[in-house]
Amino acid sequence: MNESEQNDLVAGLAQPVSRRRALTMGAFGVAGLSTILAACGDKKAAAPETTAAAAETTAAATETTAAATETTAAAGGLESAKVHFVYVGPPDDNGWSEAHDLARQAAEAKFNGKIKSAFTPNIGFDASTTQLFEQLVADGNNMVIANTEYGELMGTVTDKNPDVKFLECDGHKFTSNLFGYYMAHADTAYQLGIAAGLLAPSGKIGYIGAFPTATLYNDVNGLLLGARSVNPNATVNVVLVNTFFDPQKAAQAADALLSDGVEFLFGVMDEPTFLQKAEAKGVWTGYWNLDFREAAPTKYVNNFDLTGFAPFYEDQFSKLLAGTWAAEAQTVLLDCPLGTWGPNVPQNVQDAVAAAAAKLKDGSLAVYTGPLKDSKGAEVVAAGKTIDRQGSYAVNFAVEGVTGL
Amino acid sequence: MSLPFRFARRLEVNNKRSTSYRISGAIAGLVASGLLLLLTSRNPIRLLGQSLDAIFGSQRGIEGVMVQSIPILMCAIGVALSLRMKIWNIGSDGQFLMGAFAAVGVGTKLDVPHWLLIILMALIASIAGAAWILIPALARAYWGVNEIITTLLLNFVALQLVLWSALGFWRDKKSQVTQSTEAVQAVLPRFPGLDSVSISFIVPIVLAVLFWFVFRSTRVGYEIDMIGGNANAAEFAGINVKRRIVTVMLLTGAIAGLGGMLQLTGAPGAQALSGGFSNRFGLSGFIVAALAGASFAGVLVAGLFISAMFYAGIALQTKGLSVYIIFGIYGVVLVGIAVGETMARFRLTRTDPTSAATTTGASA
Repeated sequence: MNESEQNDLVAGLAQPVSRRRALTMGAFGVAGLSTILAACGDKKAAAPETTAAAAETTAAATETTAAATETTAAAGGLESAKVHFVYVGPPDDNGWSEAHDLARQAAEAKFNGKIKSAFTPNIGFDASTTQLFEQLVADGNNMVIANTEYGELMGTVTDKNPDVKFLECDGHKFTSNLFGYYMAHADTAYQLGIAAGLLAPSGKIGYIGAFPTATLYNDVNGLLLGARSVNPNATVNVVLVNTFFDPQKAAQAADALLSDGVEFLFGVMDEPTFLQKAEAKGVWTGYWNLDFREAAPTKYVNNFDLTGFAPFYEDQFSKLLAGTWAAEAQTVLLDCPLGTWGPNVPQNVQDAVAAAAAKLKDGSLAVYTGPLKDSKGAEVVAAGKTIDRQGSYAVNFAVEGVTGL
Repeated sequence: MSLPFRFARRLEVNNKRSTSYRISGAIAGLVASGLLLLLTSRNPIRLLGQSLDAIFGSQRGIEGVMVQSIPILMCAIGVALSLRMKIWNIGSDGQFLMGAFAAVGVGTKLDVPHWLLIILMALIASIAGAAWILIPALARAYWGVNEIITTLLLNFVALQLVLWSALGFWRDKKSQVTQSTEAVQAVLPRFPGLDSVSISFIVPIVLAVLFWFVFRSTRVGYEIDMIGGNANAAEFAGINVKRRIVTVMLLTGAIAGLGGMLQLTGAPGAQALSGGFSNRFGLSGFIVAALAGASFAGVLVAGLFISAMFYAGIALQTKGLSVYIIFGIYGVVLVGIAVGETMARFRLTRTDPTSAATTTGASA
């Protein structure tokens, strides 16, 4: 607005108000008045909020003192700490993010209020995510935990803020204040694969995936190798939907695989839509994240048990408070057993899996045992060689028998 | 039934009134959102305070708004330029993505000094953005094909191409990152004294000033406005309308494409291409241009406003406000502005009882 226009505006305000203008101004006036009235009416409701805000300020004050103590006593630890979780989906997705949120609550409860945790759900993969992480640092969080890999969207912020601790689930960046952690799920997939191979006479297994990463390769390879150990005809047919949380896409992929005749349906989806699809078709199915047998009451097989996140977070919190936290140098792989069997899974299947689970645990059996060929026919593991847990977390191939990747 | 008042269309819409109505509309939208928040038993005044604090409380907030605004402004300027000609380029998202796509291709594969790489990336991105609108432009200019459909649909093609590159042929396999290409190493320098804003922030400002000047004082600008007013009259006056349409549309694509490159080399954390690379920047840019009525000064103001709103949304999310409520607030505020814009074209007049009687008499 240039100067003359500004003058016009001022002149306009001084002029007697025309009827038209009075009408419009009146309308806005009424709107404004009603807000004020509503605000007054809400005073009672607002009052506890103010006290809450006051409490927050005092909490913030203690925090500053805590921070001050931290600086004076270098490794003295913290009186209390703020931890913020960033979820890729909603905290009540009946799946991945819910598993993390349950773990967050369980871990927080162990610290009698010394750990104050909060979360931000539904965070996608664009540049505003970087700004979100910056905001979390500015909010004074001591530790930030992301339940999926945000890569450099997060990495640029972690580099700039060496005093804040960062954890990235399935992350691949390791610095002085950032490391990645995940479930050791190749073993789990292998066990579920044995069940799938026994339950599916044709050996046709369907898998709904998100992105072609090491974690996905471990899922499908584990399934296939487990199934092949009991059913030489087993195959795994993969459909990628480029998202972890999109019930519609998951449903379409499930329909495609089911009409293709798979007899066991599994996937890495964060929500259980595909279980309902499998149940409707009378096909065996399993789930990653939680025991969600109500989605498939009769055909539920088992799920990956992610309760291991809770003790892991608890450990991280106590190290944070004690001042002994240090970033790990390589991916922390947490034990991830199978959960509770579905009601209709035969005993012989359960026994076969239990036997293999014991061997995997004592090291007499490895998921990747040579000779193995990848889906293009090249040898990836020589005869007599195996890949250990840490090595399996970096595999970049699908074994022979997996299609769709 | 006849009301005592009716809306009558104003013969001439004056800019000042239109602006003040839009601002009033935004305020009314904010007030309405406040009421909605009250209904969900949240304190809107406190949330507003938190938003303002997030934006103006620190240098980081202001920088955050600037970072948000660069891609939105680039798309908005492109769209505003075509709107002067009454051409609706809904495809700036696709042109933006194609610019970034081409820039990633050059930026990660060529081994030349970084300053040269930046220039090459800017060039190729502009060309790619323009190329992405070439077919809609020719189709519109020579065969009268509706550009709304063609530009819109090409957005989806561009997004799929980006997804394919990020998950397929250019996927960063070394670092095992879930879903993106390698990151470009050549980045723009930061704005002097600022922490996260790159010098790319001056590009939309310079472009806006340039176009403001072009439309105020040059023949080309006048011709474009004339085509927007009445293409047939412009043709009759001897303007080569077809050529102008193609030029302007290619230019809008190039600007959006350059925006993609600026985002790739300037925005923190955005140095690799992924499916989420464009956070609906084209759509936001389109909204900005439409709300600003294709005025370039207005584009800057509206662009910064919408960016501030988006940035406040990020801050509020960390305070526990659901992203769905935040999107709801964006929507209500934008509708407020749109209603204000329309209301500026009308005035309330008292219905003349005698003339109403005659109308009824005539129809009876």
